[in-house]
Amino acid sequence: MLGLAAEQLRADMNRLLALLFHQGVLDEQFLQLQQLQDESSPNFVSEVVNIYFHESEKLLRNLRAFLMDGEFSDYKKIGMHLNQFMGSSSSIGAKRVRNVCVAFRAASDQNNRIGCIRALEMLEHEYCYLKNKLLELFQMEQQRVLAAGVRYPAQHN
Amino acid sequence: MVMQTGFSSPRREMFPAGLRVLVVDDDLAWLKILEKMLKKCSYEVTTCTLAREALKLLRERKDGFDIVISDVNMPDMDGFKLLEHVGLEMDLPVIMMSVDGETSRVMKGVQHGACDYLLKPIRMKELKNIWQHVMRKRMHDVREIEGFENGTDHNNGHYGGDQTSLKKRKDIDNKYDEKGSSDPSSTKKARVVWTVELHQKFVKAVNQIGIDSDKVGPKKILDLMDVPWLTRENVASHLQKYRLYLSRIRKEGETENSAGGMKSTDHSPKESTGSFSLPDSNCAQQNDVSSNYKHPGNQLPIKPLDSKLIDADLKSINVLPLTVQRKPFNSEIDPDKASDLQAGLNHSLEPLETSINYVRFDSSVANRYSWTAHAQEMHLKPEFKPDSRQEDCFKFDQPPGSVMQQHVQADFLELPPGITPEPSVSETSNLTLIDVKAVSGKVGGSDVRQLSPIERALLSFCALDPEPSGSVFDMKHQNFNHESGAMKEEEPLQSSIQSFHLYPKSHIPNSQCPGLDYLTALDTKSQILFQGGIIDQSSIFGLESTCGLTMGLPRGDLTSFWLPNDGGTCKDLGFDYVFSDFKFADHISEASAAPCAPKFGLDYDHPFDFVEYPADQGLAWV
Repeated sequence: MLGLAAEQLRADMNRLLALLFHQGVLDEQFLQLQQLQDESSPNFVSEVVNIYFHESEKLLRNLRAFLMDGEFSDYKKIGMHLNQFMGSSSSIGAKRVRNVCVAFRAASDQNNRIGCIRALEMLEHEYCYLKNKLLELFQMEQQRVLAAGVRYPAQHN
Repeated sequence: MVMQTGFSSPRREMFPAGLRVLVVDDDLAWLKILEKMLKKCSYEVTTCTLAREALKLLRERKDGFDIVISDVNMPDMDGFKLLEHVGLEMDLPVIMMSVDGETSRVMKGVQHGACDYLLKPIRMKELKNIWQHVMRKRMHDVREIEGFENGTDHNNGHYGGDQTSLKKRKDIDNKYDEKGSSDPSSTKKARVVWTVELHQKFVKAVNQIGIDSDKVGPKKILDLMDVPWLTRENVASHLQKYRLYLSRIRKEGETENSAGGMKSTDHSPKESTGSFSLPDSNCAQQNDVSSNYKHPGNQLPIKPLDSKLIDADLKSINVLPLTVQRKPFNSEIDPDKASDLQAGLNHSLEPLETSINYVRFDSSVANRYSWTAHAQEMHLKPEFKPDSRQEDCFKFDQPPGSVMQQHVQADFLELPPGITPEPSVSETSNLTLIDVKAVSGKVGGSDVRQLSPIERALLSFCALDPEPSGSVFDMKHQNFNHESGAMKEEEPLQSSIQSFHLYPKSHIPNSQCPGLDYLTALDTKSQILFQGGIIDQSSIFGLESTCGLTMGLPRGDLTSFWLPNDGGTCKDLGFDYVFSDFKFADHISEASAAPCAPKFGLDYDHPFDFVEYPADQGLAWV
């Protein structure tokens, strides 16, 4: 039974991944990450993604703080944060997040505060969606591993 | 394949496996990914997030790495800066990485010597090939030597000792595994540290031969340099870099010729203290002698300089005694006598008297430079020392709009020796004293002093362009108390003020920072404030890298601070040096804006605490 569940979970995961690719949320860099995962680092993908989450949330907090500050005027700083964000988003293949960063940066280059705020909101939205989906993926993976780890005398349920 | 831990040499048979890579990136996610990818290539990986850290590692383990991969955007140091450091100090291939693939950035990378420029996201296959850069570099150095051979090479040394093997290597690009002992991949060049002194010799030798002549080659240069432990190979690779540098400077020099500004008297180099500048460089001195210079009669009595004491003090300091020729104390500037490395203030500046102080480089081992030593050094130029004991305000006669930086210390130490080291000297700050050129005619004496390393370093920043682009003031020993009033006309820059001109080594048109004046300061290790100049990033980078590099001191720890100079009072920010009135992009030295209150716009995204001095300790403005 559980053996089947493992297979089921795997199928579900693949479906989710396919969806995310289709939506443009992730790109092939994510696949590269998966390929890097091996016996010596079995949790490689989730480790990297967690680092990404951690860094991104810091950046997002800062960005929000900048823009919410009425006297904020240093758009260069925003630009730098965005560069960082883009860089790390490219590391896990977060394509949509990265694209929003590009738009965000364009707005900040023009010192367009309203544009920046809107871009920030979009960014936060995209990021949340991505994070939720990835967490879902990891959860499924965990379950799958557990399920696959259960051994039965017979393969069939 | 055995992965080696530690920093052993790579196994020859395994090359490129075991290639020792240093990865520098502030992005943790990428760091992890790259580490994994490189490990998969069977390389030996070391990671760090800070450029500073990276340089430390590289310096600690000379020959411990084969190649460096670095991101361009890093908080503590510009990736390009790191790139130059590594290239010059360690002569390792460096690969740059960035999210930004804009051509201008890539160009910059290449100009600064990057072997390659990778765009993120980086694929495995790109990393798999990085060993080629290591190969290529080694072979190139070998070829350089061959190319410049003027005669039979008798000392093939570790190259196998015969011409055939050299030729073989030349022909082979990827059949490196054919050779056993002459395998370039296993050839370990001694990593020569090109100290300022060494480079001095090099430049001298090159000039003797004539930089553009056909005859210039590593062998001849090596012979002229007469440095026994130096190999032709070392010279060859250094020559190559020097050439690149020269061609870059020349190109920029051409574009800058139109820049107006002050013309400085061109001094032919008296000594080959060319550091990184061209022999005929124009760190000309212009010293306008001010009639209101405080006469040496008021000099501080200074104890004889006990150089031994200093040296003992600064054991680990890489101090190169430099000579700077002092001008005779007359109102004329005698160009012939002036060393080209004497910095001066622009003609358009009202006369400034400066004194020359030795600069001691504090090596990375935090060597506290003592006041005593400094004071003792002052002895060498007694006539330069007006009586600074008085609470005078120093008037920097700067071009309009320039900012006079005064470093006010509550317990300012007067110059006279015998003054014990100031307790307030912080542990962390390297008291490097900038040598200033005193080329004022009023300043008497005609001692020829060599330029200190930092002076040379900073002056090495000189481009072909003769126009000075600013002045540097050593703030550490100033006692500017402008409360006491006065901008006395008769009190021009006094002895403890060191200033000289800096010329940008490299800069690009001011398109990147339109209309903005910047102040830049070095970090806590060595606090230097650049102020009031139009500076663009690359020139600061160039300056900083040169400083850091030749000083060996801040270990490249140069953080940039950009402070606008749009009028107002600049307070003392606890900087050791103030580079005032810098203009890199154009050499018009007259600043139009009045000094301004500094706004701290950080160029780099990292916090930095300024110590702001209260207004009453402020600066006097011209």
